Amino acid sequence: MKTISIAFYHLLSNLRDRKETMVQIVSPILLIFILGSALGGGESNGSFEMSLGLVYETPTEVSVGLENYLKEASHEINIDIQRVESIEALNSMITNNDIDSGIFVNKLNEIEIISAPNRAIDSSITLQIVESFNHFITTETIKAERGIDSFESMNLGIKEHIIEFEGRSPSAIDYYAVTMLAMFMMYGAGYGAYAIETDYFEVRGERIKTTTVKFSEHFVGLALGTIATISVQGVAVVLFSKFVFGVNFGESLLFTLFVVTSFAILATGMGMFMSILSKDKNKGTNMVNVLIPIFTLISGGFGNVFNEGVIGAVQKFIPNYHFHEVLLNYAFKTSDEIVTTSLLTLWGMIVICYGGTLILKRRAV
Amino acid sequence: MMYIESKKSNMELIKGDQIMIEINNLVKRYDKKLAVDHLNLTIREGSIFGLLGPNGAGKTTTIKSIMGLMNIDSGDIKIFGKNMALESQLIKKDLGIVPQEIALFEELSCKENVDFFGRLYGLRGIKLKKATLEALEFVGLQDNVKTISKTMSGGMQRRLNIACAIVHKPKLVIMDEPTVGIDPQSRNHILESVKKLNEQGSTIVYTTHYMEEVEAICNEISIMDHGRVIAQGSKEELKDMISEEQKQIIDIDKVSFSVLDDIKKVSGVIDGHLQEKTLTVLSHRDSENMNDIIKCIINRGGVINNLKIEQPSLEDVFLTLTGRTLRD
Repeated sequence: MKTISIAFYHLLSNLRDRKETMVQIVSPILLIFILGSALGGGESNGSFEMSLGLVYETPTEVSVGLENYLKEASHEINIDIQRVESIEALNSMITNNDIDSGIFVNKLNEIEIISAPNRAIDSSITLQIVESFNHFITTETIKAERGIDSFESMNLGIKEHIIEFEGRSPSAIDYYAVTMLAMFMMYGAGYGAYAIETDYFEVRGERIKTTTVKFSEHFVGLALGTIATISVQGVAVVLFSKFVFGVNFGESLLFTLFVVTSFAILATGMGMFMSILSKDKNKGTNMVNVLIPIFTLISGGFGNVFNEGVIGAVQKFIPNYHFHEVLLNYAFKTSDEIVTTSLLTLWGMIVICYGGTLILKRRAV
Repeated sequence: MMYIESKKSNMELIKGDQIMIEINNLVKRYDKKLAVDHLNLTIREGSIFGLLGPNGAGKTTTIKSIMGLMNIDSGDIKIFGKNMALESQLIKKDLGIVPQEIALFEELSCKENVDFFGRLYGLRGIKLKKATLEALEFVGLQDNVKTISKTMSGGMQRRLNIACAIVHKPKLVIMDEPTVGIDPQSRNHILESVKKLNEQGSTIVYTTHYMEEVEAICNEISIMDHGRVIAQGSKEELKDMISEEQKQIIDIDKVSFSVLDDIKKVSGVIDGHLQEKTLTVLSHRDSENMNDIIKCIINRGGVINNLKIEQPSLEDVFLTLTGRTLRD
């Protein structure tokens, strides 16, 4: 019962963090929509319209890159982009309701979202767009460091990277629904790291340890609460993608939810492992934030990557890759063997993460 | 409200002289640094026990060792006559902890936070509901049952921090600087709550840097330094330890710091310092040197506005025993 109490209140606390919950649910949905529509000819019916003002103090790689990114996105999702000369003019336009929301990029490349207090939805959408741009920037940095393709060729690469499954192929929106789901669920590893940092090592954790809770109840409760948090968010994205975007997740929704839950278990275990490995506040979360875009990139989450040689070999160790393999092969009925193998690999990784966490915890005492 | 109905009165418990915490030869090292050095400490049932010491004295390490949060190098800690290493579950059910930092779920309401910790102590159903509301009432948060913790003031959060520690009606409550950074009203409420909790039967271990809090609520005090207890007893007993001294406080005008050199040469003077227009001289109690001190001031051209002789406060005891040197 104490395990359930810890899990329940942990879940409740996580889900009440509205900002984080919105990021974890809205961001993947928006990215699926943008990438799926822009790169694969998805059925964008333009269910909303929005005008967005952009001000930048000086043209920099970031500001110009953001402008190009917004222009590209505007073709697909009914956003009217307007270049505005000054921050004063932008404020005035927002005050007079001439535009719905604005973005300001200063000389230091710091990005600020500007909107009226009564335009929370517009502000939220603008924030999601900027965050999705951030993901691209992160990816570009990694790609540049690794000497992979440039930004432009990456888009081409994505268009070309439609996985062929014996005559049946997922559309871009099917593909990105799975890869973006994987990426954001993996970001959920941050919840696992946070759980260990806050509710095990730090003062709240110490307080819990002074109660009559046993270690097993404490640890399992934290893990279950985190798994439930990531699962709820993952399931919300799956259901939205399936019933709003018409994404194909295969015949059995139950199986998809099982895979999503398995991945949530893995993400939680990874977060906990990183946190206990780093033994330092925030380091576990920082490790998650650095590793996840790399995982997504190497596993082909953003688009085409070489799946031969070293990268092909590395992919086999990336959780996202196996998640893609399970869900796409299941949805398009291509290879039961791959589904089984990748699912077992995911569970193997789960065993390693939780086993490693427990071993490191014993050493830490 | 009768908070802990079944417990004996405070006086009965003190008379009972039962030992709540017994620490023998406790040693704890951090690498080569000796944090707790063969510490011996006894805390009797029914007391409000003040644990004092400068930064780095070993208080927190001692508290964490008592709470079972730290592996000790050697020694023995018994709580309620039981060994923490062997019978932690039995001990913990009667132990309440108020950590120095606020250890709450920010996104949860007052009721949910207290309910959570109540559940961790094994409370369920109507008993839990009743205990939760009683704990919130005890700390004066009965009107904030649904208020989300992060939206509350620092003082309210501190009080909620206490409610979470007492929901299971523990016999022993350990409070680690529970009044840090709060307004006087909340601080006063917390101190009153501590006294009330003690009157209702709980033994309190209270650590703080505020000497006036210790003076106000503690009936037994231990001063730690360099990992050891350097003095222990009631407030009066501790003051008697340095009662061989008296403090002479003189308000003066037109005097330079050089007067201190003259005064320190006066018979019976132990120490002296000048801050703005106040000269404080520490002398042996029976030295009868006030006339000589006054002469020194007048010879240096000083004008005396006021003078008084003070008996030592707890702060004097603390500073005398632990020194005035700044600690890290």
